[in-house]
Amino acid sequence: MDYFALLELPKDFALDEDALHRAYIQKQREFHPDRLGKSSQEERARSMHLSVEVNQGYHVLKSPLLRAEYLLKLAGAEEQPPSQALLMESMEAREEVMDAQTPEVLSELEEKHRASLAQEYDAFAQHYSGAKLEEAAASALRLRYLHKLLDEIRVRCKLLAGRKENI
Amino acid sequence: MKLLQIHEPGQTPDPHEDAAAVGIDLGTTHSVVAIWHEGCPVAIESHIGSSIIPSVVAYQADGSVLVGQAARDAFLSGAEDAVASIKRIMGRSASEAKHLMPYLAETIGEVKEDSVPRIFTRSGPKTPVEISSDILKHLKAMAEEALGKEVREAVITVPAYFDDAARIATRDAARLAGLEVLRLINEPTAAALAYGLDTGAEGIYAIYDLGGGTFDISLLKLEGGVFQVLATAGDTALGGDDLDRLIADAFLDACKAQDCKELPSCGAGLAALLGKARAAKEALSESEEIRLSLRGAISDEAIQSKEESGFLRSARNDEFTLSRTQLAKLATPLIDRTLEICAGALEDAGLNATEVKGVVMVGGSTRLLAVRAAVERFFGKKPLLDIDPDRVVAYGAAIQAHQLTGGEEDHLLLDVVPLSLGLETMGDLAEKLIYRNTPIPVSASQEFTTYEAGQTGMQIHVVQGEREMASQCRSLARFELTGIPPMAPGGARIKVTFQVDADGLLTVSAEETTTGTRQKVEVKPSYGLPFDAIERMLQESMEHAREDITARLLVEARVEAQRLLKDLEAALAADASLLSPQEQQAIAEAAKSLKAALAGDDRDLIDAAQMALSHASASFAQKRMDKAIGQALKGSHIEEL
Repeated sequence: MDYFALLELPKDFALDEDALHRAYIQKQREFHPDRLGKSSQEERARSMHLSVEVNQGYHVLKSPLLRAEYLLKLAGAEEQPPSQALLMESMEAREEVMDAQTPEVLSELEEKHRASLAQEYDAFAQHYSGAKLEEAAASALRLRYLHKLLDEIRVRCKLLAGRKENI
Repeated sequence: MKLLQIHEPGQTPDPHEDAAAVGIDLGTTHSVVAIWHEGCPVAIESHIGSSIIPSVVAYQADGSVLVGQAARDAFLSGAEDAVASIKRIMGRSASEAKHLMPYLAETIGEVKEDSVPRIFTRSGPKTPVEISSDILKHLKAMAEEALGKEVREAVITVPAYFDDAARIATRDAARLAGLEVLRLINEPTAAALAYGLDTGAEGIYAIYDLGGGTFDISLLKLEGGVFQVLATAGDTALGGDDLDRLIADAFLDACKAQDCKELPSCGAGLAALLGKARAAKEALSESEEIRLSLRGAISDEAIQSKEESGFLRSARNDEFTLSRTQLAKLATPLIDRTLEICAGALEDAGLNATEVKGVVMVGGSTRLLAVRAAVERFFGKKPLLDIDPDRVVAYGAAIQAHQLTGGEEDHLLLDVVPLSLGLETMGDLAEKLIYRNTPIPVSASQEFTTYEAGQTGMQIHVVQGEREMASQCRSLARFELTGIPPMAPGGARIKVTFQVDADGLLTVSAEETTTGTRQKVEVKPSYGLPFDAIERMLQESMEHAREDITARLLVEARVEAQRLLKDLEAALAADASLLSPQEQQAIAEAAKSLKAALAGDDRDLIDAAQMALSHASASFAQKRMDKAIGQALKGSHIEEL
């Protein structure tokens, strides 16, 4: 059973976050080990297993990136290596981040990449709903790179802030 | 007397009906035991009328064990066999223990790296598990006495930030005390449960829990009876005890300035000094300034022995003044540290302070005005003080114990893993399988491979913590996966699975997937006690604890007698008409002497009075039985007979 079926949600990239949260709580009410009274070893194991699955499902579906990758996996899309263009793009972007010396520059970069991220999510949604799996997979890969880049920007921000305090 | 209990056919009572499940807050400085009673949690009082029991154990010369206020008095007067704050070293190695409790250094004795710490007492060397178990035994007996019921099951709270080793140590201590742990729950989660159910609060709340020895911050979403932990963080070695030490240090500094030759660094002198420091701290919640002298804090005997060391000469001359402002200054580094931890938890939850609707203050140390002021500045709102900071955790535990034993409440606790769990890989790297703040129960797997040709075994080293290097994380367990078929490097596929259950306890299994070589371990911390040691200790505690047995027999006699009185009362209410006035009077008299016997502590007297009452009411039981059978027959057809 996939996570969408487990949480009784439509198998789609577009997702109502409130509905996901409600489904999560409802399923934990049903399966969480605390909800079991006196019960057999077997029932306890089953309850534990289902509760773990619900937690995992909630975790995967809540994150747009993990949700996109999960949908591709369910659709049987093949993993592909990053394109030359994506590698070049991410290398240049990282250099920009490493060179940034002020929080202002970093927040400009952050804004720019957040915009690309939003666009790429739209692209993914279109490819996926149009059943263009190869293009969707390429999109998902770029999304992963962009998220990683944004993480790096955050770390760099902290580093700069720390350095300032030391002065 | 069993004849008195006539139940409707098909309504055989649950044999466990008379066993109660309690909630226990096993704290660093104090413990509380509570039970669900008529729709709300109630803290159980000791015979001296207090429900806040000092977590201090004193081992007496005659082999008996004191727990609670009497043990705390012994500790403060410098008794060498009194142990306080044992929770600080639960699940820790001997060398860590020495570092965490320097004043215990003499008693911990010779330290072998990675060994279980043992504290030498008159009753022999004791592990932290055994000492905690003595506290739990005391709480259990207290509850049994108050309830007139056997107590077999408990929900026990632990600091949210307790690692796996400390959780296992707590569970083992309960087992050793004869308690089945229904669930280990996190202290702030328990507090949120009690607070949320009591006030009907909804939204995002922070629980700021600063106790005697530990600090936790948990962020929870309260919504329709669901208590979802969004993030938790803390420090298991940060609490009011530390402030006591800072005050004591400041006092010693003042002494030093007066050219005192020798100062107490451990043992009786320091214990007394810490007691004074604590009293001063508490008094400053009421007054602006207090004076403190060591005189009177320790026994005359101790004073004499200290006289020679030169310590008291200066201490006697010294009166140390401590003002609220000075106290706040001393506390600043500790409070700042708690706020740093709060900031980290907010970041993990993806929240900022303004999104938190309320901050619930838990733990005795939140009485400090400086703490309240700092929390108010940090969260930008007045902290919530309308709950009992000392008992709320035990209340939450009692509520959960009630629910887990079939109560009709409809709430749900969704908690998280406090610290990341991972494995050591090549080059001392910690590869994380489960990240901190992941909801539990949870399971995660990862594949590893061999790096040498023909490698047939693999060391699995389980670690917990946030650091990148495995050696800087906490080592939980090591085991070896053997029988891997020899292959080229990278040929074998080893799948390691971590599973954390609803108690927050970890199980690790490893499997070579190409051949199915499988090994499963329940994680036993490197410094924990192996299972057979626990079994052995259980055995020993049963063989040697005569006192325990005597006390237990008394409790049992009481329980039995109270049950008889209750049953008799019910029977009389229903069927007194079956008895002649003389019979009624005989029963009433026997009941009266049993009640009188119950007021004392003489088990033989209680037993005798109970026998007499059983005897006096035997014919009543027979008459009731006849009546019940008569009624049962009335409804049946002759053919069926």
